[in-house]
Amino acid sequence: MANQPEFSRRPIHRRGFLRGVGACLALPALESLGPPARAFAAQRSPVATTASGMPLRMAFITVPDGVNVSRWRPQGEGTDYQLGQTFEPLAKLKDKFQIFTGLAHENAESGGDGPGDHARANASFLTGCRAFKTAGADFRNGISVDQIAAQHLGNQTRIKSMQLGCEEGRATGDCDSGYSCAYQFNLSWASPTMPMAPEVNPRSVFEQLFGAGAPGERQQNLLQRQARRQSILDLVNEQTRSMNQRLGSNDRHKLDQYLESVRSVEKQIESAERFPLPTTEMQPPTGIPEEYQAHIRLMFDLLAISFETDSTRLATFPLAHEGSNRSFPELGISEGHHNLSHHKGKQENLDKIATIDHFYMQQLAYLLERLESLKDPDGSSVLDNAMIVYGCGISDGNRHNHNDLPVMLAGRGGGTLNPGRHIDLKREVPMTNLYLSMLDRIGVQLNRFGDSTGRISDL
Amino acid sequence: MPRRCLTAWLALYAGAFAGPTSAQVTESPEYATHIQPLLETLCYDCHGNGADEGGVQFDAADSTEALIANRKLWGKVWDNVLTGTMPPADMSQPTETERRTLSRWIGQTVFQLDSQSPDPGRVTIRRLNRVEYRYSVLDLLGIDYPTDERFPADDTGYGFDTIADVLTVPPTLMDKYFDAAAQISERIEQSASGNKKIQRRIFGIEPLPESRDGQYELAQSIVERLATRAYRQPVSSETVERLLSLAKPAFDAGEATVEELVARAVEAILVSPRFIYRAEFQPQPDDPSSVHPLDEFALASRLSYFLWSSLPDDELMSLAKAGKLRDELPAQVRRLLQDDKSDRFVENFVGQWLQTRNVKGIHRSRKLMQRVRHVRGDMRDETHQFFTHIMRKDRPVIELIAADYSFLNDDLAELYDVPGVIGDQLRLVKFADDSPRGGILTHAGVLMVTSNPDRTSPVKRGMFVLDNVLGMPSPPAPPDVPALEDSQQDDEKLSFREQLARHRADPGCATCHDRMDPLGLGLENFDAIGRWRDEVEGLPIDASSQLASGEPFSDVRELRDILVQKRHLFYRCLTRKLMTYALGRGIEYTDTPEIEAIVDAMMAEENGESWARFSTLLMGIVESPQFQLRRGNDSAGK
Repeated sequence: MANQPEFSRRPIHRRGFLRGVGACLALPALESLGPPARAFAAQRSPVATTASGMPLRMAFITVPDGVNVSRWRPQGEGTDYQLGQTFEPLAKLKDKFQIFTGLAHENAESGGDGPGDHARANASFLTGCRAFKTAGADFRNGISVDQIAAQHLGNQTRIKSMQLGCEEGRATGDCDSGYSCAYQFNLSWASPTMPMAPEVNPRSVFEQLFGAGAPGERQQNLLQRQARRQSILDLVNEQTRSMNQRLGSNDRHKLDQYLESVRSVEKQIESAERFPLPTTEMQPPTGIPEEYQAHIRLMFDLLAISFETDSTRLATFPLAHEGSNRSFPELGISEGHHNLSHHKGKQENLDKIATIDHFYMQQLAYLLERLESLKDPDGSSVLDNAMIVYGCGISDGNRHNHNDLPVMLAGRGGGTLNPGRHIDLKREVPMTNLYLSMLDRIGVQLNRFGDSTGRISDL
Repeated sequence: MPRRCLTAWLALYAGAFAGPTSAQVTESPEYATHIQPLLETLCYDCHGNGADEGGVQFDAADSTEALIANRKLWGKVWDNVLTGTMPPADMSQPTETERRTLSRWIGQTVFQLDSQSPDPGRVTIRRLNRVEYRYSVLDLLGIDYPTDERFPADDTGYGFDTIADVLTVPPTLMDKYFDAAAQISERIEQSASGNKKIQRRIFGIEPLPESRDGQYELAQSIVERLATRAYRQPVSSETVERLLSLAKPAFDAGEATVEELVARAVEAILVSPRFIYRAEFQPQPDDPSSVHPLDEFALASRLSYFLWSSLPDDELMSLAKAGKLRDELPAQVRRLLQDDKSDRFVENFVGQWLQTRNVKGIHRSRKLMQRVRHVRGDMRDETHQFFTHIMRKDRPVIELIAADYSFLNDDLAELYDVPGVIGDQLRLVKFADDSPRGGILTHAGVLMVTSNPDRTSPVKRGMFVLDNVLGMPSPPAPPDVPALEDSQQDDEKLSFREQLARHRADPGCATCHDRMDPLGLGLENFDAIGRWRDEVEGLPIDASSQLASGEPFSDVRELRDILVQKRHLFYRCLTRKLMTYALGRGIEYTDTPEIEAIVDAMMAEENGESWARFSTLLMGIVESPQFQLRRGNDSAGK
């Protein structure tokens, strides 16, 4: 830790920084506060580690357009409860997850901003912040929980965090009611103005995890690639700085983001030296599978393997963007999902929504079963040493309501969670309270996050 | 003509400092004597004397000053007045003079706009989107790098992917920039032993000089040329040496070839922010009152990224270097449009404006999919060739709405029920006099992307026409009402028309749906993939309706006639879309007077026999202060 003395002089920055995050403030150049906060975290006991010294992972997976609430909702409370029909694919794993009733995202509500529930639901889902209503100028959201964790994770894994997705493009034409598409398509936000675009190509994910080229040559290829990058980094930095001097403040802010991303490439080079690439039996995917289910499952395979090999401990994966109007001919559903979600109480529509919910739940079951089958050195499964949030920022698509959200948390959190229950919170509790409690468990303790009001004591 | 305006205000900005001008300014009308009486007559029935429909009440402010200071309110009033949305059709209407008086007052008094020193707005430094990156590399090096497969999708705003504020560089993208640069550079390295085409393209001469010194001099001139074009402005010899320094030690030691020397420099060029970002430099960049003409290199970039989605070619660069680009603007714009590379403009602008980008890969319900699968590509090409024709032949802009021809091949002709078209090449086909087809609103691709996967959606189509053809502002839906298409499927037994009618009976819904639904109903004779139909589910289709502005129509032909009548709205809408795309920012109220000037110039060109040409519109944009000038930031660190 060569940099430590320099940074540890001003640990006070950390609290200031975290408070700013907690309040979704319009922070000036966040980057200037970033490094000290991270360095401070690195002095603490390692974050995202279980009591037994195993990696503790977090993943956040979302589905769009709300759910069929009556089929989702469990009967009963605590450990003695019945799963809703939608959970049928997960029945075998019932003691590995907990379901919540009562979580809410107030900042997804209209709040005077008019229509745009899908954009707000996605933007607030991991940030707890209100997306500034704009189609472009001055767009601003908040930092997402996975990226807060990533800032504190330091150099413990080779890949700081992964953003996965299944959609190759953005919607053409206007997005939701005057909001930029950035809000609707990016779940993970590294800063209020830096959405992290999901990677949709399984081959790119594979190469990030295991390197490119023939199996025996991947490590060497990576080192060559990094050496090559190293040699031009100085030049890029020089040119950025000299350009910066001639620009106005808005433009400089953009270039600061550029420099920040250049730095992340530099850090990759450092970590490539520290972490040899894992090897795998898996064949490199050839590209994007045509079938949606095959695409999701291939991405889940890669997610599972990235957790197993401890290549990363953080991942986000919107299975489709909020507001998605995908039709499911493979399920006999020719209507678009979003259209259906405005079901008007018609049973036919509700049944089709339930079929889609069930489809997504089957995919989740596939992931959780994979994670359960993979073992960490301490004998517990990767799922046991993980916290996986699955849910949606809209409850009932017909009402566009953002309370009583369909959310579940899978995994034992390295023994810190008590799954196998339905937790009825009996009142509206900010979703960010759950995130604070999860961050506690990976060793990142914040006073507030987004619109949080406290913690969920019993998890 | 706009051309004269260009020289007039450019002259004003020719000095190093551009302060307020003393030129004669038309006096703004007085509120008390000119505006308030107008509002009383036209608006107070609903927005005064205690009435506050839609939360708008003109006589509720504490003072006239407070009322005038409410820019949010006046911005909306301006939109509504200019588009004729307000007053509603069943209320008494202002004369054209009254409309103009109100509009001028809002511009001058509320927004403090000065036509003598227009505010060009703030343009953020713009990252190349993945389409522009691809074409820039292709035009620079002759190497086609598939960015659509390798780079993450670009975020969009205001309906386009050219919006600077939302084009970010997350770490994953940076990673991919480095990868792309390395892979492209490897192609150049290997060109020595393999690809002669790339070698000729980059090195230009054969054989290469034998001496190391000669080779180094060659590399210097190549890298200078490539960096100049890639950075879109002159580069210093220090920059060239710095780029060459990457492989110079190896080259001097005889371990690297001259190809490698150049390739390494290119690799660095491609990850440099000077390539990735289109920077426009100006004096006092943080002073919002500091307005300057763009330097000609920046102007060349604006032109080429607007019309070619790529970097300027040698001709644009040498004109900029000589300071002659502005003088030759019309000729250069003509040249850019006639070049095949302007296909990219159509692909990207029309692709997003009319959403034809979605057409080729669109999924429909199983039954419809069989019918459209093989013809989807043709649908997109039809709209693109149609637009290209109007653009390159400088046809009347109104043909976009009301042409009596389109571009068809046998498959499309079959879909459209047009006889006598043989072969799979699209070609210009004139429709019969009684044909309902003509103009973009009857293109199958447009009709399809504005439908649901299994059926039409008059609401979606109506919304599309409002947003993309008429440019009418839609009042915000009440917060608890979802934005779109939610009025559908209400009841089993009612026809769609009846459902809509019932929905519109609710005054809360009516303000929006009265505007959207009639436009969509007029297109009901076209099914979800654009085929003509006379009935749906056994019920005859009734495509008659009445626009919110009062005009009744009985079918799509009459609807089209009304749109032609109201073409100033279409001209304004298209101007705004083009300007958004070209500038990479949203349209602000400060842009309104210049947009109105372009629309006025187009209307002035028409005299019953002739119509406004495409070039009038396009040159209007290129010569506008928005395109030609730059001002400093209005707030630090936003």
